[in-house]
Amino acid sequence: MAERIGIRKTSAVVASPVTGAAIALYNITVGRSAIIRRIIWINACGGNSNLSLGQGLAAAFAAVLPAIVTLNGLDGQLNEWDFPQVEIPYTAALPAITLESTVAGINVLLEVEEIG
Amino acid sequence: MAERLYASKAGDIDPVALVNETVAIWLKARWHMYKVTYIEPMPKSAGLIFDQGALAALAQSGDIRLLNLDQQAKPSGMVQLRFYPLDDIQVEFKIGRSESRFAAANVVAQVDRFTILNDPCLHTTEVFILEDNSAYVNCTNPTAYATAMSRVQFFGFRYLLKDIDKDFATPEDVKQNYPNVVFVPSGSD
Repeated sequence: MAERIGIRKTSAVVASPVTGAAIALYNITVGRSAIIRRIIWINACGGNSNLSLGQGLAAAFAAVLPAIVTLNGLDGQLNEWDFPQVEIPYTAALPAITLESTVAGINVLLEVEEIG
Repeated sequence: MAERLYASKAGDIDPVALVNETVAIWLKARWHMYKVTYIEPMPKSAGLIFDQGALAALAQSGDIRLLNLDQQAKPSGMVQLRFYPLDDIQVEFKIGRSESRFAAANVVAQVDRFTILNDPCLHTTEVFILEDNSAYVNCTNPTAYATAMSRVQFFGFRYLLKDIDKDFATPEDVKQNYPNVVFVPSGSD
C-alpha cells in the first residue's frame, strides 16, 4: 500500500482542566498510534482560554501542537486539513492524548485516525 | 485455457472447484477426496453477521461457536468463507476450540479492521468449514473503550460434496490418482 490507512475513532466530550492539571482526552489503543484529524469545542469558561493538546498527565503534560485560542461563549472546530501529520504513539508511560487550558471548562471532542 | 482454481486465491472470491470437479480436503492429517455436486453463493448479508455482543475495554468474548455456519453431513456440505469484523475488534478463528487458523509456531494472526483496509478482497482470511466441524471465533476488544457490538461478517460459497471414500497421505499420491484435483485446507491438522 502506498499509504497506511487507519481507523477513525472519537473521544467522549471532555471538559478541559486548568494548566498543570492535564487529563486524558483520548486513550490510544495498545499497539497503535493516533493522528488527530478533527476537533470540535465550545468555550464555556466565562473567559477566553487557550486549549492545549499533548501527552502526559497533570504537571507532566507536554504539548504536541501549538495552543488553540478559544473565545468565551463561542464554539469552533478544526478539520483534517488544518492539522499537521503529527503521529502520537501509544506507550505504556504515555497512553493517551491529554488536554488542559489556561481557563478550565472548554468542552472538547476529538476525532483521531488510529494507525495499526 | 481454463482458469486455475485454488484456495485463498487473490482477488474477488472464486469457487475453489466447480461442479463435477474433485477436491482433496486436508482433514486429520490426510487428504480426503470429494467430488463437487452443487455450488451456491452465500452473499454478504445480515444473516451471515455474527455478533458476540458488548465487550468491555480490552475484554475477550471467549470461544463462541458459530452454529449457523454448520453444514449438513449427508451429503457432505462445505462452506468456503472470507470474513472481516464490522466493529473495532480482533477476530481469532478456530475449527474446533483447540485449533486456531492462521497460526505460526508462536503466534496466531487475527483478522481486524486493518485487514480489509490492506487486503480489500480478503483472500488472506479464507477458511473452509466441512460439515459440522465446529467453527468458533474469539473476539477481542483491543481498545481502551467498551464496544456495544462485536460483529463479524462472513460471505462466500456453499458446496455439496460426494465423498469418494478415498484418502491419501501425500499430495503426490493425490496427484497421481487425480491429476486435476484442487487442494483445500479445512482444519484438523
